[in-house]
Amino acid sequence: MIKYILKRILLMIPAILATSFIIFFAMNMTGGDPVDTIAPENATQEQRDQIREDLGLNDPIIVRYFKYLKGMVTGDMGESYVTHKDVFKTFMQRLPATLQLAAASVFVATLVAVPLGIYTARHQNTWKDTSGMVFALFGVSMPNFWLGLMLIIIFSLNLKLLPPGGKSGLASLILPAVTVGLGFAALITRTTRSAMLDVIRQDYMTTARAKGVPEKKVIYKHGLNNALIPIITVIGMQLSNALTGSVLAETVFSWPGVGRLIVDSIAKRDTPMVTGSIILCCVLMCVVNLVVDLVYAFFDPRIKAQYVKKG
Amino acid sequence: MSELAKKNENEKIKSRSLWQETWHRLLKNKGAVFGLCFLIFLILAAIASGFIYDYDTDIIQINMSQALQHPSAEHWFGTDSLGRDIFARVLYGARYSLVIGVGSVGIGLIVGVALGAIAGFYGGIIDQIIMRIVDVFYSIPNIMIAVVIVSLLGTSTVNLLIALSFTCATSFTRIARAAVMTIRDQEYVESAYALGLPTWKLIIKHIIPNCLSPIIVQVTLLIGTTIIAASSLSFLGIGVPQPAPEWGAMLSEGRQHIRDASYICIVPGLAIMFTVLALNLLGDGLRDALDPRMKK
Repeated sequence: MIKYILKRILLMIPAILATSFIIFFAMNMTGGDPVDTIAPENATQEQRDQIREDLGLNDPIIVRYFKYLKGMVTGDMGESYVTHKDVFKTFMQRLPATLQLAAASVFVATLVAVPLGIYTARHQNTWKDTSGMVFALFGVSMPNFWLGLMLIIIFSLNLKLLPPGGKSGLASLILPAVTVGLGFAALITRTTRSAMLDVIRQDYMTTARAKGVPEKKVIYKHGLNNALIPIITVIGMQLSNALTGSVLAETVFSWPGVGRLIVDSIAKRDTPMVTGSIILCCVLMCVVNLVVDLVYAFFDPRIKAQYVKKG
Repeated sequence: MSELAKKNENEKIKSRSLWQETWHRLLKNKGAVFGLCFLIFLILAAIASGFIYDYDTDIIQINMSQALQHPSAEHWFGTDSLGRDIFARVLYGARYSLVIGVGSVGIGLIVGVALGAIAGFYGGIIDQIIMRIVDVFYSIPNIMIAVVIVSLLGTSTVNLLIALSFTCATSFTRIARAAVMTIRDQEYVESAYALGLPTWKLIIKHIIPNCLSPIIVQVTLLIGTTIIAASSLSFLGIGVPQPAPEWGAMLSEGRQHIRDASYICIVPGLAIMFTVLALNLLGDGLRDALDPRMKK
């Protein structure tokens, strides 16, 4: 198992290299001279050349990429063109807010979706099932930034129950988390429903009922336990989606996370900030995916057995 | 020989009726029929909007005397902060969403299926190279790919379309590869190969038609996802540039007036939602109709 984890970590390296390579090149080939962003308007040609030299912009792009990589290993990803703050530090300052939102939204999604999925599976082909599925369908079809706007109109502007934006305590987390979470809930509900339907007609379920196990225990212990793998897969996928997918919710709710950092930096043409943040997001996603894969192995001995053989 | 001809004829009849059968099953699905009708209506409305409204005077012309009018008989959905009729803009905006959705999925489909078919058919080193590149793009979140491409090429409708087609292509490559790999070893492919059919003809004539069903389903569902992605990027200001009446861009603008004129934010979002809903209903219906075994 340890061998497998090491192998997966090693495999992450080429993926991160390739991603950073593509993003670095694309971002640095962008039209527009970064010196225009940094230099004061009345800068002389000499000052401009000096800035160019200081930033190392005269080097060929491939040399700059390797310098960048060297810095990346030590956590030095350059300075923002606009605020002149360290990119890595700024990203890390913003990260907790995004992680908080991601965790809260996946929590909301799971809380709504897993019971709903089980409920619809148990009442398959009745109106209860249909209405659950219609809910899920609307959830998938709704753009989540629009849902955010609607929630603001209803809960902040009309009912005046919750703050419309900013980050100030638990109350301000509710609307963003519900906004991001409901989209995910739709997917998790569908997966839970179909996983439960696969399990619900198995012989061991009948056996358990015949033994006189209470229905609740049959569903949750015998049923859910065996349906868990696809459900965990989809929840894990949503967790890594939540990290980046919250860009929109962060914009709608003025949530001070990584997503808004990226959007703001794009508007200001702050190339090092955008490049660094996107690369760090990708690294983060790789890590989350690895953790999710390891969690499966924990829940499903069959998968563990496969890994050990391969490892 | 005559027996073979007879057999061919039989197969023709059978293959025709297979599509008819699918169509029949699709029509029995109420959701799919609703989706199909809505989409036909939307396409007709998008086409008609070009004849009803003049882009320069009705859609983008600023008319401050009419600004922020609440919904009324004259302006069904009210007017926005620059006095433009929201009904006209939403109707006209269907063109953007449909063109971007269909366009990027179309480009992604052609590129993705070609790459996936090549990777799946040849296997080996070619497969490795193609799939590793696809994996890299797959590991970068879609919205980030779009951000990078749009900031590389600049914000415009065409660049948005290119950016979104990238993400579509990666998902088609995977589907096509998986489908081709299962079909590649079937006997009819082997016999066609033995008869000396050139490889490209084999792929286009025998392999691709037989892996169409997962691709058709994916096309419908992906158009929906792409429409949401396009409006999201426009909402962030990196998609269709102002003053074009793209639905996401309209929401971004309406957001400034959410306190005094919240109706601006409602209709464009509903338009996105119902369009994507219709596509999802149709996609689900198609999946059930194309592969009845999948239906639960």
